[in-house]
Amino acid sequence: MRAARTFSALLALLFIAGCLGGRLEYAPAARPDTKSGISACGDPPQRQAWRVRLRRGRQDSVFTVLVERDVQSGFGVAALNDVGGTLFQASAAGDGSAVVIQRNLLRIPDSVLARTFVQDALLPFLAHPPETASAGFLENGRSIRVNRLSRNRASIYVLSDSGNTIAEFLRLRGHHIAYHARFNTPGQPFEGGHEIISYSPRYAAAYRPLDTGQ
Amino acid sequence: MQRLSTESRMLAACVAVFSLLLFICLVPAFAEDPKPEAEAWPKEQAGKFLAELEARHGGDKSLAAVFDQEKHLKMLKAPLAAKGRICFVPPGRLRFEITQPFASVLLYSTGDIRRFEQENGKWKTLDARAVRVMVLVMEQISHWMQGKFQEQSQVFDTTVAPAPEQRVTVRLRPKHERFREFIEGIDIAVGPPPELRIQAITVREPGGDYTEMRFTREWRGLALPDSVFEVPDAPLDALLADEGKKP
Repeated sequence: MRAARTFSALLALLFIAGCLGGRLEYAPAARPDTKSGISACGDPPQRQAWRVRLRRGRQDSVFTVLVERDVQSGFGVAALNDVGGTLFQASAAGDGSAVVIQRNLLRIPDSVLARTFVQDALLPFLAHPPETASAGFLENGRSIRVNRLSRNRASIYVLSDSGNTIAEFLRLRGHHIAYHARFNTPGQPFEGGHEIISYSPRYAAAYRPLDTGQ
Repeated sequence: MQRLSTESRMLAACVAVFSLLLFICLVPAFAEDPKPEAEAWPKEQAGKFLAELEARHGGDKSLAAVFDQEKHLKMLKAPLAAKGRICFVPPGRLRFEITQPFASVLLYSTGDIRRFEQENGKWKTLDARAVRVMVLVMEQISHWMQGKFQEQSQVFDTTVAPAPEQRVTVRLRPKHERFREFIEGIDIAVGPPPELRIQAITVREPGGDYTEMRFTREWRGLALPDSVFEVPDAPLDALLADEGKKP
């Protein structure tokens, strides 16, 4: 009986570990640096179109995502295929919490869509550490800001060499990476785009900015 | 007499300016009113027109067209615009290409679907398993461009209605309720006779969103090389430019 329990526990551990990325070790900064004004980007546009390449399992798909900022309601997000068909439409508040408002042809639950692809499209608008985030550094010496969300969860903002823009954004579960986003051109995500690896749910996505002339 | 003439000229000018102001003020007001749909032609007249359209554009001629596409979403303030091309050789060769704001090509040749996307100036092959529905849509578009509406009678209720300037709108309304959840209707704008050119296709979704595909140029009966349907970087620009120079 004990052997069966141990085996089940091991299986559960293996499953959880399989859903997460590698370990991330970090330490608090002995003396917090005084640099301020950290942001993912300088001046976010009112409207941004992304060309998205999404890989889920062995299948990849490509579509266009349009994000429009609204001072009152936050963000409108729509995904379209090449013939103009709507894949999904979502509305997001200023903090990124989103709700799918129309259609969802991506064959994943609305709640999962809202906290994955919708938030991915908004990442350059939202990835900036709150003032309460603590300073720290990674094993490789890179400066970070840590926003602890719960005992087991944290958001990590890896700063660029200049120290005033975000180069990478990670979500941790325990010490393991659950989500990893990298800005191709730190400080200018709307020109360079960003890449994402999510471990649970497992997918990878590349966001390339489109010049729609608007 | 001279004095009277000057006064009447001034009066006429005032009337003209007032009329112009009234026109400027009223036109936007009228423009905001939704236009009522024109009454559809009787079935017999519609059938005759569709037969004429098919006789004009049908057959086994190749087709190449350049289009401007606009996706209008009620949720967003401005539409998303794109430019593209469609090439078709009956019975089963198709190329659908978006040229702006990204470069993407979908090739369909006798049942084989291939999809490509240009990234950093290089064409990359994409998984084409998920785009069978897009191929179906494109096949439909090429059928409409060929004036083939009779085959649609299983899926759509087809009516024909007059539009301004001798144009005609072919309206397709899905018969099946399940289909109507996704598409409210499709309007195909046909230009004036004798060309009866397919000018635009508008796909209306429930809730007010719609996609408009406006064909800005078309070539029929072109000798399209096999490469157009086989490789993403076929010399289509040069081919269409050469055709454009011909008288």
